Amino acid sequence: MFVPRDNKPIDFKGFTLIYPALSVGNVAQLMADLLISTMTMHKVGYIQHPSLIPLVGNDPYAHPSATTCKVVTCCEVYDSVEHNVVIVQQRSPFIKGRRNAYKKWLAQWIRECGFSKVVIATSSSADERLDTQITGPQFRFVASDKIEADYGEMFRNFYEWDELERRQTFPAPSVLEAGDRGQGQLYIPGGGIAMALFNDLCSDTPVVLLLMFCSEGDNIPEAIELTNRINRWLGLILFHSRSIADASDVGVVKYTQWKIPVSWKLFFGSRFDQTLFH
Amino acid sequence: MIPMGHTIFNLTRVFTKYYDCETRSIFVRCNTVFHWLIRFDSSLLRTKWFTTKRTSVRWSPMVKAELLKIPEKKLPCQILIVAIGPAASGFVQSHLLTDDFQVVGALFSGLSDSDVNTFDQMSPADKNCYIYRSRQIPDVFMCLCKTDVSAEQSYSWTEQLFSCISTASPHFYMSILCSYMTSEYRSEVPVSDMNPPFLRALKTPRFAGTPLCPYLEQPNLVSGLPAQLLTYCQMKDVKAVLYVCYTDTLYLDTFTMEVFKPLVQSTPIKDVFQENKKAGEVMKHIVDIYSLKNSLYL
Repeated sequence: MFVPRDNKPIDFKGFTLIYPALSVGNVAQLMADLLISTMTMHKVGYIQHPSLIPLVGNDPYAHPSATTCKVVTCCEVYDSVEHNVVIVQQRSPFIKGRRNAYKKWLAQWIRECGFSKVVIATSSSADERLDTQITGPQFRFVASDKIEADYGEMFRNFYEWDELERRQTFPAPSVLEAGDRGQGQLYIPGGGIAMALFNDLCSDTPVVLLLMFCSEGDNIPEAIELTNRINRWLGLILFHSRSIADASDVGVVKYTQWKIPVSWKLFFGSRFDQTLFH
Repeated sequence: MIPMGHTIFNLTRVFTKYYDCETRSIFVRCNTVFHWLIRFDSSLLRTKWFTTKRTSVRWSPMVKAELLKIPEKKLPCQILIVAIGPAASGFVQSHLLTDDFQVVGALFSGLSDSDVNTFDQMSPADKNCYIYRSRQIPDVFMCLCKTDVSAEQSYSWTEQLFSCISTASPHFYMSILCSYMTSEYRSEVPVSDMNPPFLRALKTPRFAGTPLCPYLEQPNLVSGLPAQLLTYCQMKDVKAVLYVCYTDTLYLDTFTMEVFKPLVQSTPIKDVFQENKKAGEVMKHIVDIYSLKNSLYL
């Protein structure tokens, strides 16, 4: 269930929800980290559900030299009133067998909140790509009818985004598969609950699914590309080529690049102990 | 077909489950007889194979009688100390758990055939978590959890613990003690330079004091039961502090338990602590119990 911080009731009507699904390489979670860190979003509540593995830690968006303690839990909701966006950041995996229960609850909560549109960000296993997907941009989108009507033209012609190709057979694609639109099904291996959530919501909510093809490893470049594309569409942050310090613009934040949060330190573990080789 | 693992239905036969992607159904093959036996529908998969294990709580008859008289059906509580893992439990058992404390409840997370259960909590394999309450000050509670409570059960364990203990008091303090291996600690400084065992802390915003050791630095995390308890306190907006002891010894020793010793001067443990001359003896006894498992040099 959603527990608002400070027990104050919160109204999300009209906001855009960005939901990063737990997927291969955690690309969507990294994207959410970048957005929350750069836009300095506020934590507005927690999601407590028996299907999430519990987790606590210190503030992941703190200043590197901060000495205070702000507990972060396994699933939290951040919002930015200025940018009209809400992000649900999930930091721990699902308990085996309970993914479906969480997806059902989440779909119901999204409907109750009345978001203006829902953006599901995810990633898909690069080893399951079709031949046509191996070259070119690794970004794909899937739009529900409402989003197709409002933004379909813009996505295809102006941004030149590619729509996710449909597949006749899966997991192994047939040799002659061309990926015709309208035939076959959408298949997102490694995408977590994204596809199931999209299917649940697409009938009555404007929802779009954005994904990157990737493999496990250092997924920061994929995360940055996904963030840039989402940013381009939603117009969240305008980047300047250099930081401009102007007396008349005091109080206006000038962004030059995505702010890497302190929780990304030591991504691949501590360094080895030098005394091993003495 | 994708094999899904084995299920032992009875001791004579081993059944292997297979998942068929195309028809999305489960097949079960018996290894003693080579033919397909049963076919399950995929909806049964979710209900049958992923059964949820839940923790259950039992309270003493005295507590049950008290609860009948309280309208909120929850025992008033000012101090709750939960010790998770052998090191933290050993410290609490030797330094804090005096004869003044009596068992008022227990949490059960399930036993397997090889588990041992002793009622005086003197076996390293004790799976049940006893809840103690002080006779003199009936709103001081302690809970010792020596066993590993899985992530699956952490949610129901926490729910059951707080089913009859109230956090509503404005003076409610909770202290969670646990231990981790230093191999799970990430830092730029090599761990050998940090002189393990050492303590780190996390606290909820309501906890006004400063813990006696540094805060847990990024990017380190605590998961499992200690995390679930702190998450519960964070959401309920009550005062709670979590102390993690990072140790590099596989088997329990007195140094690891003594790392928690400075906490007897910290809130809320200082309100419960009484000088106990037998603490050293009890610690040694606990180490002896665990050293039966330490057969490396025998």
